[in-house]
Amino acid sequence: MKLQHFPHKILFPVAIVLSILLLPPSVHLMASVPDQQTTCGELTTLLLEKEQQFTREVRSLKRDIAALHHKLDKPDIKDIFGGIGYIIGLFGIAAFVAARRNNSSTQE
Amino acid sequence: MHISDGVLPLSISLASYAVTAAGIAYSLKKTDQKDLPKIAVVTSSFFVASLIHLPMGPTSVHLLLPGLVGALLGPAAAFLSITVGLVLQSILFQFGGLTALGANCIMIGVPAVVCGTLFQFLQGSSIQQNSFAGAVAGGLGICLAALLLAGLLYTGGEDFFGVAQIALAAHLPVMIIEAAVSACSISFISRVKPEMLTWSRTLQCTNEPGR
Repeated sequence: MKLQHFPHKILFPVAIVLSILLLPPSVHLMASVPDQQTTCGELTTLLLEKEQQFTREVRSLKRDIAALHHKLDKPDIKDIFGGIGYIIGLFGIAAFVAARRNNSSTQE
Repeated sequence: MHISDGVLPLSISLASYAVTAAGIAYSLKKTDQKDLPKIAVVTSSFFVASLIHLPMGPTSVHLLLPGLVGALLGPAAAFLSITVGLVLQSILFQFGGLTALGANCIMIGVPAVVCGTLFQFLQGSSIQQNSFAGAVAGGLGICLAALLLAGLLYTGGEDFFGVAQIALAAHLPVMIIEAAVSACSISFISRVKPEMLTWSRTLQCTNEPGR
């Protein structure tokens, strides 16, 4: 009895208000699905770009390291002059020892 | 032209070390004390000469100078000089391994001794004759070194004639350059300081009775 008394007229505005209140999120949801897709695509492109950048950097670093290895293998100016110094020093010691031996043999 | 570590069998490396030690002992005994500064200078130039790389087609070659060392120092002191130079090269430049050092000394040292002896026979009073003797010594030094390389690698199980052919072919330009460099150096020295080429011999001859 009371249900029949329920004002059907009120149901309409309530339904409209509810639909207005409920619809926007659903509409947003509907709209955000393609939006998310685009951001995902952007993200993947960004990531790919970053990855390419990193691989490029790593490759240049590897090249630098290889060049450094190559440079380390080759003797530099310090080695050369060090070697010359060694040779002259060695023969200097030999000459010194020989001279001392000569001196001591003449003194005796 | 350097033999690396692990190419030669152990017995050969030990034997080459023994031969090198004997060569040094002989060299030290025969070397005159007054020659020491000259030996030091020639050793230094031998030590540095291998660093001068000349681009030659796809690869690069470098001077070895056994002939010039032998010609300038004489056969006795040449072996000592070559050994000292090679020891320092292998320590500082990683040219050739330490285990193959004896073999390397024989490979460069024996040609130096042979070329030194040959140069003393060939040299004369004129500059032309001296530079010709220098060129012969320089070219022959490389040739002998290549043949010795082939002989040493033969003990490691390589084919002698194959290696000898490759080594001789690869060092043909070096041979020519070396002959030219030796001829120029010897002619310059015989023009500027001719006593440097005969000095040790005359000194030995004059000193021999007194000692």
